[in-house]
Amino acid sequence: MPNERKLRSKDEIRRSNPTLFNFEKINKLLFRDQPIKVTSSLNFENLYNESGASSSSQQPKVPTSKANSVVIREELLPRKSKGKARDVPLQDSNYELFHKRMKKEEKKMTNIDRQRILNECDTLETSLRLLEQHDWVKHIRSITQIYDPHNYKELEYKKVLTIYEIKRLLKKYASWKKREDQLMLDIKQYNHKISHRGENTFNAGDVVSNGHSIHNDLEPNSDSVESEFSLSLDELKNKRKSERCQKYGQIIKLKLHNGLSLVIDPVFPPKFIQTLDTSTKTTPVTSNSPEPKDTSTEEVAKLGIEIPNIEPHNFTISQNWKLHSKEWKSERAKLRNSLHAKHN
Amino acid sequence: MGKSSEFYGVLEQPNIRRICFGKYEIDSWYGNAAYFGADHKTLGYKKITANEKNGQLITAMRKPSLNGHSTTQIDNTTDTASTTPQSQSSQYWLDKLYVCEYCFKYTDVEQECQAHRISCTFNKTYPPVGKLMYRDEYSQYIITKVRGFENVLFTQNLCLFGKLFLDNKSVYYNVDPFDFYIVYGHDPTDDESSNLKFKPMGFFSKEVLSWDCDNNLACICVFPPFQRKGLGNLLIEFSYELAAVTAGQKFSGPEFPLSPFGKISYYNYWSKKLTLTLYEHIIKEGIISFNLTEIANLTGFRREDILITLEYMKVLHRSSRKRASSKGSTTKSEDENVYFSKANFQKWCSDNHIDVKQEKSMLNPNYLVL
Ligand SMILES: [Zn+2]
Repeated sequence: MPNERKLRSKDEIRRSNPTLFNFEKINKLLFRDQPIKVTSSLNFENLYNESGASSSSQQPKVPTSKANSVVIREELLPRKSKGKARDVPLQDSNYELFHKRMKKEEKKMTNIDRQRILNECDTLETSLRLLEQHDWVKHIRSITQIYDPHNYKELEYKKVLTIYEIKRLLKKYASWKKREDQLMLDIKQYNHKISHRGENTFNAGDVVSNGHSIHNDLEPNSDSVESEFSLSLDELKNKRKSERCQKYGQIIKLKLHNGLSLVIDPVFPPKFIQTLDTSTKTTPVTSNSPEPKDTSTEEVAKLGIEIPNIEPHNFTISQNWKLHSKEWKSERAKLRNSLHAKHN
Repeated sequence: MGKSSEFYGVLEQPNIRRICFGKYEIDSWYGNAAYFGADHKTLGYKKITANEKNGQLITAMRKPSLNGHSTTQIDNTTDTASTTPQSQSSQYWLDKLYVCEYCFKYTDVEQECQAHRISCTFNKTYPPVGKLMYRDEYSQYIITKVRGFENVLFTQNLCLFGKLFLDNKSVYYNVDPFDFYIVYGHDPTDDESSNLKFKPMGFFSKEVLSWDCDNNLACICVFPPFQRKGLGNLLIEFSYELAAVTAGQKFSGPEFPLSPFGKISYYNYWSKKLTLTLYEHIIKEGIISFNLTEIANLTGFRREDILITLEYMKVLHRSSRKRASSKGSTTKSEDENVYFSKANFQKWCSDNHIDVKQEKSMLNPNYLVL
């Protein structure tokens, strides 16, 4: 995992020369949506084989000779011991010291990776700044692979591509940082929860140090697998839904009065859905709130959150819209007048 | 391969002769140095305990290698007294390792493991840790999510055990930034008269802090006694369902490079899924041209994974006109067209006994509780 994990894979563009952006040898199927034409004829002569996946030597293999060596042992298990839990062999504490030390060593590796990501990020920011300066022509050759430095058209084109690519990478960094912050928060909250349970010797990131597994004395709570087995699938799904709401916020559904609703989910891309209820009452409500609210500032504020890639969905505004448009116009006019009257 | 080029924890050959995993005895597929102390024969936790008493500490230390990558090496310079493993007559560092099939704790003493398994706190009808994410009421398979930092020792031991069947795993102890998805089921060889227990049968890990946010899976492993039940497929399908409700993972896939087990499982899964997709949306619809993004939209797969699978299926070819390749090869000629051959596709289906109208998946989306 961290061994080979660096700024790689999808950062294809940097691959051929690690120090320069190279847009010369881009795979057009992957990055330019080159069309693949459908034919009927059999053809194994000119197989497309960029990765080597179609050559038979590349067919994956597991150590098959090993795969069938499973045997069930005859065993006489000792009776369940009447002793206390602390008499059970292989207590957590046995492993504590060694695992803790090894974890610390592994963390050093992770930190090297982390440092590299931060450095790379610095470089990207510098490059971006240089490319956005008026004398970018002077700098681009040290950032991007240029075929003909006298071809201004190429320079211009590659500047655009490079800036786009750098911004993409910086966005990736931002996503990574956001996930890191969230993880740190999760760990902190978990440790807090544990220490309040009276298990204050346990810290996430450490092995239990009091010799007991923290699960020894825990009664199954309502979140345990066991108790969730007693729920029906529907109940369980509803439970997950509300957990999700609590963590990420409400799903907002805006009725558009034309048989459609705009659903804004804090996790998914927003989308339009069909709504059966086309009542013209102005009660856009959140899908999960038990009582319908009016357009309170709370809901409106939520509309301001960043919307992840909006997915275009084809839809046509229903006939209702035209039929009612005149009514609505006059209604709005009335409303405006009344508001106006209030303010005066 | 000399000692100096050993990657951390990774060995070319299995270094434990046999693994006793609960009631099963199995071979490991790969070596795992991370279980051991620097003497390459004592389990690390036993070594450290013994040496602690003598006031000296010897562990398998790691340091960054010279090429600047954070790949690490076993450094046994601190342990000059020990014999080098290469000079030993056997490749094995240990004859048998005993692993609890419920919590993955390990030892080289059979009695310890036996006694432990009986009273193991994880030896329960239902898994005592984790959150239910999938509950198949028909097949009786469930998948739970266990966060590394919430169950450190359990997930560390899971990783260490998994390494015996994975060639490329390199995180065993620093589990904090990983989530683990574990598939449990009833073991058909268990005594049905006694209380049937959900046993862990395999897992995949997902790195919360992976640099590529489109990685939906880091390592995947189904334990040998439970292979050939389609569980690898189930876990992979699940990983895509999970990605579908994870921000930023509209298109996603496994971390590369894949282990041999991962490669087989993925090529199998991708090719089947793509076969169905191509049949439904391209062939049946009479489409004359498509691009990878369109297929990505239909499947949630990354474009590069789609391309590699289409190559694997041998259904893509270039123009049959041979192009006189110019020396500089900077001239982009017109015949760089890529074709999808319906006839090749037909052959792929018949060679692999895929009936596009019959294929069923392991995962039933109705049972997802994400
Ligand atoms: Zn156990």
